[in-house]
Amino acid sequence: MTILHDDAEAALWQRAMQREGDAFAQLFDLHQNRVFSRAVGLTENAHDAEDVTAAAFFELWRKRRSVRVVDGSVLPWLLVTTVNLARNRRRSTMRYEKLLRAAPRHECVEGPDAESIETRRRLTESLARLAPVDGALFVLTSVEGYPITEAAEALGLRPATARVRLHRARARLRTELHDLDPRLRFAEGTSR
Amino acid sequence: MTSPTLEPRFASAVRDELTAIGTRSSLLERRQRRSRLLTAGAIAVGVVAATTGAGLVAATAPGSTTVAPSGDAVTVTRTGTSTIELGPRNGANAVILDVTCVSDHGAISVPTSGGLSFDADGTTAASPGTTEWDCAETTAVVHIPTGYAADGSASITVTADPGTEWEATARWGVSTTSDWGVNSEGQTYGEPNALRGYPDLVPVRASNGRDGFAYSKDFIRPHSCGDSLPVYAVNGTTVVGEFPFGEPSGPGCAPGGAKPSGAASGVTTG
Repeated sequence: MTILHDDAEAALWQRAMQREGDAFAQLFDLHQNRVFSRAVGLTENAHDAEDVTAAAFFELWRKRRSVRVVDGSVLPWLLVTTVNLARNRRRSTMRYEKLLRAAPRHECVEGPDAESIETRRRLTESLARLAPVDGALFVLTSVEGYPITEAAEALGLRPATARVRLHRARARLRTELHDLDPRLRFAEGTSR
Repeated sequence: MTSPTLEPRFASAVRDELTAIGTRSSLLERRQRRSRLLTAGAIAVGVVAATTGAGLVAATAPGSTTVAPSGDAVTVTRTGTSTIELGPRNGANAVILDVTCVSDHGAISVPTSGGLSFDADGTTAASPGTTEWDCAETTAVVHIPTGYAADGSASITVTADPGTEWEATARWGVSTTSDWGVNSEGQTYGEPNALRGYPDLVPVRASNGRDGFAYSKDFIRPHSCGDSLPVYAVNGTTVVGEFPFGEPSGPGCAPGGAKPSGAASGVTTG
């Protein structure tokens, strides 16, 4: 999986900001796997994860003027958006319902194992109880492995504020998910 | 464990849609243009309403709908989807709202009346719609003169993304629609409206910038992509320009198969 943290992606984003479709398509090529992996971990099935992934990239276009670029990359913004879209999948993807309904799909989807479903459900429910910004902060740092300073930048927070919020969010999740050993399970499906 | 990957055909469909951004075949951008047209329609009526003064109705274009306030204004600040209670209705038929984003992102949607739909044979009907916008793109006050409250209801619900904060001033209003004009040929002209449907001639701006009229039957009939409609002076015979209609390269733009409803409802929705 290619991750560009350099001028190449920043240049792509500059082109995308000018409504160059090809640049959006290349950003999709770069980041679709990371976004989909995250969506799979936060939704009930692969179809929902597909919807959230597509919606995250459509939102990248729609909100292009307010996207926060971190270290030249839009990936942190995409991941934050994925977390937020997954919180309320039905409502958040409704905007793109027509497009999503027209897209080709697998006839049937291979189901994950029961333990994985349970882990996912518990994590999703716990994240939903956090403030949206805290949930996104947790996913970016503890699951995706971003340094706190970059996660804070993606969310428009001061690093000190982000640290305090993350500390509280982690403490809360640790209490709620103490039986799951989140450290190990959250690492599944991520590449960092 | 290997990372999950998107189903290739689904990924390809999403990629194609992203690639189309910036072209006329982009469904994403087409959808946004339609939303903006709907909002622009509401704002256009709003400007008329704002300049009429309380209780006075002085339409600027024949067939325009104007809304006069009737009742006390309620001002609220809310987050996410929320219902505004408006008090006794007293014969009002519209809700006048001024909505402002407090948050710098998130979508807001307000139900509106005054839209029109039409079927293949040109029969028109009033059709409730929505005015929607995104706080990341619109920070100014959005004035909605024809908010929709169901019969018997004393409230209106503003739909917003969770966590999106907004302010609104809302009050009941009475909407009135003026008569269409009639030209020397006996043809009606002016704004389509939910009360009477379409006049013979509807106002359009030609590609050369001149304002004129197009025959509404030309809007309603199926057209070939790449077609242009003639734009006439108010007499319905003097051609002053043309109105491009559809792009030959666009998807779903098979000859004779494109639907004019997006453009027409954008023009007509108040």
